[in-house]
Amino acid sequence: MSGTDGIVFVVDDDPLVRDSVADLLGSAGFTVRCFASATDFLDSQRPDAAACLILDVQLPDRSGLDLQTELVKSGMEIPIVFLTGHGDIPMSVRAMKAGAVEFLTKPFRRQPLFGAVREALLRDGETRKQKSETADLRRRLATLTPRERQVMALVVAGLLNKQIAGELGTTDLTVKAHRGRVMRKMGAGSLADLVRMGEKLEVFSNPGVRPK
Amino acid sequence: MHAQPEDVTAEVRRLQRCVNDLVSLVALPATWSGGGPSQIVHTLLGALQRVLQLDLVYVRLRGSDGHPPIEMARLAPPHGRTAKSREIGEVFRPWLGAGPREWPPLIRNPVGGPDLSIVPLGLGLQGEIGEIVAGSQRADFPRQTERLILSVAANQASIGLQAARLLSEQKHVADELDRRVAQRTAELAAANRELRQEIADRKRAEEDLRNAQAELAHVNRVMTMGELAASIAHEVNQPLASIVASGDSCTAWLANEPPNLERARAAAGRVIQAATQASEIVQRIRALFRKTPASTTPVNVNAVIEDTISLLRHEAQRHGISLLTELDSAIPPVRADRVQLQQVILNLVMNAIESSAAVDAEPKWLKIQSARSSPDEVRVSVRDTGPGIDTAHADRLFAPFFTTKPQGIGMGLPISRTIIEAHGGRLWAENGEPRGAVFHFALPTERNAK
Repeated sequence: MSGTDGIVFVVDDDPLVRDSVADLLGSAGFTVRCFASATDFLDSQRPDAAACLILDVQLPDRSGLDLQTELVKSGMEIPIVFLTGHGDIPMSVRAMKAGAVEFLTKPFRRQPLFGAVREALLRDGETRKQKSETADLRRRLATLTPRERQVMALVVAGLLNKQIAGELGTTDLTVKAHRGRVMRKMGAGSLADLVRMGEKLEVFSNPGVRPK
Repeated sequence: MHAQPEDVTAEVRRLQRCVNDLVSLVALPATWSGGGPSQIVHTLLGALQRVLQLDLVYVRLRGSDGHPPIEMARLAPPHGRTAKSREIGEVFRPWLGAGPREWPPLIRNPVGGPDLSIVPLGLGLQGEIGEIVAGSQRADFPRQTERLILSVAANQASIGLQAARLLSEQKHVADELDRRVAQRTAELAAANRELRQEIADRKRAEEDLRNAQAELAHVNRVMTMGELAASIAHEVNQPLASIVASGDSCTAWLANEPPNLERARAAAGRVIQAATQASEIVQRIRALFRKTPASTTPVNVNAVIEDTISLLRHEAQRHGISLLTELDSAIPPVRADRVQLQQVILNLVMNAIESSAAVDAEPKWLKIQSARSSPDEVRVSVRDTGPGIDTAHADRLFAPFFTTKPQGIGMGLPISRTIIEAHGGRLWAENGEPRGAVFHFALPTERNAK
């Protein structure tokens, strides 16, 4: 993997800066898409691929930091590399805390920019992988009957079949059958596997906790 | 009377000589014109002594206002001119001023020798000018012809002296007039000098005031620009970022196998474009920092507004304020000093940013409008969404050193008003609707500028 897989979004209101950054990234083989404002970026249809955002801290319609907050809030997390003309410390701290990958002060050289972009794309790749796994698990979880979910929750909580049967007011045999179906539907190879899935999906024994 | 032939001949000869003498005496006044009394007396004495072969001739002129008495005498050679006129005068003193009849016929010769036969004659109608005393050792002195010559000479001298006196009086009056004119001229010149000095002093004071104001305006400008440092840095770093990035990509395109010349060229083009942009920004900033004597030129107000707010756009963004403009492209030019006008707009917009930022209300914006408010006036208005003008402060708003800002020195508005008024315009403030403040200034259009 060359580290250039994925799309780099560049949001900057200054056309010269935007074009220069895009061209510089292009010269290193990155795929780039440019936007003149945060609104344009938010309104755009983004392809389902690893991506990162290069963002000017000061944009005419809203500050880069505000856009970052908004993206986090709406669950559209995307790693951000901030560019600034006058990086002051409080601003950098805020940006890094909110998950920015890097904070580059204008003017900047290619290596720090490429490094930051590669890092951001890798991070997004990871996140996406995890996200897609979780989504897969969720789909599987959704195929379980309410009774099977109850059984799964109790199994993950570490209860024995007999205890589960007592808890649900049924027989060992029934529990065993449910448990077999849960393992098959969830695609779990072992009990440990199922426990890990349960943790990831936050399936707990207390009733009322349901996955989103 | 029966006369002998030789006597007749002698008499004729004597008469002939007398006529000649008279002619030469009558010619005397021609030599006096413009001369003073001493010159008249001097030539008179010489002529009489020579013509009448006198042993002594003496003239005394009375003094008159401003003129001392004159005493002169002439003796027959070899005594000549070196007559001791004072000593001679002493001898005549007892009779001087008395009528001719009072004089004795013989008087002691003051320089020695036989007594002299004397003829005293008054000068002037009543002898008011002075006297001539002619003396001779001859016993038959004066003969009739001699008496005639003497009295003609006395008359001539009287007229000459009178004229000389008149002339001298005229000269005196003229001199007095000249003196007075000179004195008055000197007084006027002094007054003029004083006036000029006063004008120079006032001019210098005005110059000092202008310098102080320019200095203050410059300090205000530099301080305002200091506040803008972060925004200016951003403004300059934009093109710099573009230059560095494009330089890097240009190198990269050239390093490709084969080199991508087209994209390298495009990148180099962006470098040039961005560098040009940077130099324009630097020029705009320098224009505001520069200390230049005021010079008015026809100025497009909209262009000044655009230039100024290009430096303030990021400052507004930094405070979350939208910067809006509503510029009437049809406004005529005004006659103004561009830098000063820029400073006024800078001050007003900075104030608007600061007061809008001080309020939590959303949205925050400031709007700069330009319009032709009347046929001969252009008006610029700066509206903000700040707290507006506290009525308690309204009358002190433009007073020097009045400020509501913790970092302010309170000179922005007074300087702005001074500048606008120096351009023949007005600067005023009011509260906006529904909130905020509006600062307006109006300038005469170029054709109406004084």
